Amino acid sequence: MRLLRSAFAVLQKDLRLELRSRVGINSLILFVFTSLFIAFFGISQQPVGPRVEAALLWIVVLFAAAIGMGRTFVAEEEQQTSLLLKLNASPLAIYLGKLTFNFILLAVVNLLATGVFIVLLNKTVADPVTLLGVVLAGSLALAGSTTLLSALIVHAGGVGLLPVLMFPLLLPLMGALVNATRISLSIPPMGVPTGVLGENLTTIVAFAGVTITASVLLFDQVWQD
Amino acid sequence: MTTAEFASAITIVQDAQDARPSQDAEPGQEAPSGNSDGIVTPYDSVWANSNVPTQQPSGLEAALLKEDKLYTVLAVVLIIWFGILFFIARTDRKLDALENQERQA
Amino acid sequence: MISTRRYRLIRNSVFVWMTVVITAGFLMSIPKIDILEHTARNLYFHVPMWFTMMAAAIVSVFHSIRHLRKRDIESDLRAAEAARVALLFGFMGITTGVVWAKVTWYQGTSVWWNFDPRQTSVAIELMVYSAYFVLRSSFEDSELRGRISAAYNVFAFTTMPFLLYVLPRQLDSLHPGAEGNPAFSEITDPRMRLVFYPAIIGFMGLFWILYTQRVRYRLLKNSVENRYLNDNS
Repeated sequence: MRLLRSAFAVLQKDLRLELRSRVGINSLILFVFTSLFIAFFGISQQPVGPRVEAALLWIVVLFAAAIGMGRTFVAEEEQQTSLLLKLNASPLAIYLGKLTFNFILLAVVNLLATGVFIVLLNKTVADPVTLLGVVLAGSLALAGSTTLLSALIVHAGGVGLLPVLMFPLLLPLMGALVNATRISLSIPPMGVPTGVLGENLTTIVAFAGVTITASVLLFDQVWQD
Repeated sequence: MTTAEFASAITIVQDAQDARPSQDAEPGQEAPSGNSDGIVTPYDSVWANSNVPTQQPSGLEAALLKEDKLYTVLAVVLIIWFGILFFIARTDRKLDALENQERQA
Repeated sequence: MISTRRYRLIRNSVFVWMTVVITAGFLMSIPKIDILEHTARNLYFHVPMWFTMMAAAIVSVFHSIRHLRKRDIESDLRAAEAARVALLFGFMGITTGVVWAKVTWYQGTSVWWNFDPRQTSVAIELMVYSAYFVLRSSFEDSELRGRISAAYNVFAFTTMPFLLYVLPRQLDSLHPGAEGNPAFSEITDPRMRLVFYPAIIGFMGLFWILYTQRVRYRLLKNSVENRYLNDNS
């Protein structure tokens, strides 16, 4: 109970900081909007398949995550609040608080990105509930895999290293996200058997589960001086 | 190497060079390994027109030619392998010497 | 560290073992298979690269976990050097695979590369270990370097099941054993297994030699550096 309360306190602190300036969320939203705009402007005259469209959406989201998540612990270090954080909360509580915050941030950004994607490409969403599920599960998996990595780079010379560390690990997740998005966007007649969708969703959720479990076990080691 | 042997060696080399199709030769007079036949044309084991006496392959040479010359590849690979082994063993010896030095220091 | 005498014994056994394996790989008769022809012998040399890389990755992550528990320099060095040799074998596996595929799967086409699950996962492994070394090089402090890079190594390793089990379901494969393709055991002649399994053991032995050499070198370097630091302070 104490753990959850202090994790919630960490989350609350981050949310309050974010809502005060909104610099993180605003820059991320602007990033996904402009990069989706550029990507689909670049291919606008050329019809591309649903797979390529879904892949472009998730590539943009992936880069947004690489930029946005890298600040998670670097910001604490820069504002010299990390020592205070260490004194007031256990590593596990800090991790859970940060993970939840990152998940909320990514979920908001990804939902907006998907909305922009649907509008820009005049998509009819065949299965909105599934699409929502895919985006939320994808946000959780992304947050789960990047929160620990963003703690690794604090002393490693900055945010630029995060994409190098995270992109190779995210390849299996990327395939599942693209497939699941494509299926939930496609109109039923040309749809794919539901088993494939379930398989991809399982992959996304399992990826989140594995990375979060590994992070919980490793965070203790990373977050100490 | 005696002077006579050296001289004969030079002659063989020159013969061999003479045997190569000269650049100003007309297309029709080129050696049969011309472009028209492509890579299907077998490589000559001896330069055309040279004075090197030919003989039936025997012993080691015959062994190397068996199975589409596969055993030649084996020989090449083994030479490379032994080279690597020699190198590994030498590095080990150097490490041994350095380790001893470091232990005494 | 292993005693020099025992090291020599194992090293020389590996030398003899691998020489026999290479010779047998060329000399043993193999069944005539269309398209593959003599390149079927690549089974003895190309495939063990992948096995050896996996073994090296396991050794590396083992020492990373050990380092997180004991915080000693040696296990960090061992993790790093095992990863380095894993990179070497992975790179050799991927390049020999490209050459082999060019003359068999892609014969007569302009194709060199294809997102085959196994090719992709080896490429990912190479990227992960390259990232591991980039991460290592960004630290000045050896305590921090050991701790953080070990955490990354372990974290990356936990996502490996996805490369091994999920990727093959996302991508089509030409490798044997993939869905719709005959399994390895069905197409492999028992004669070939007689050389193939010893080849895997031999290449893992070769990994062990190279890895042990690199560890000895790093420990020596460490001790020389420490001595200079002590002498000068």
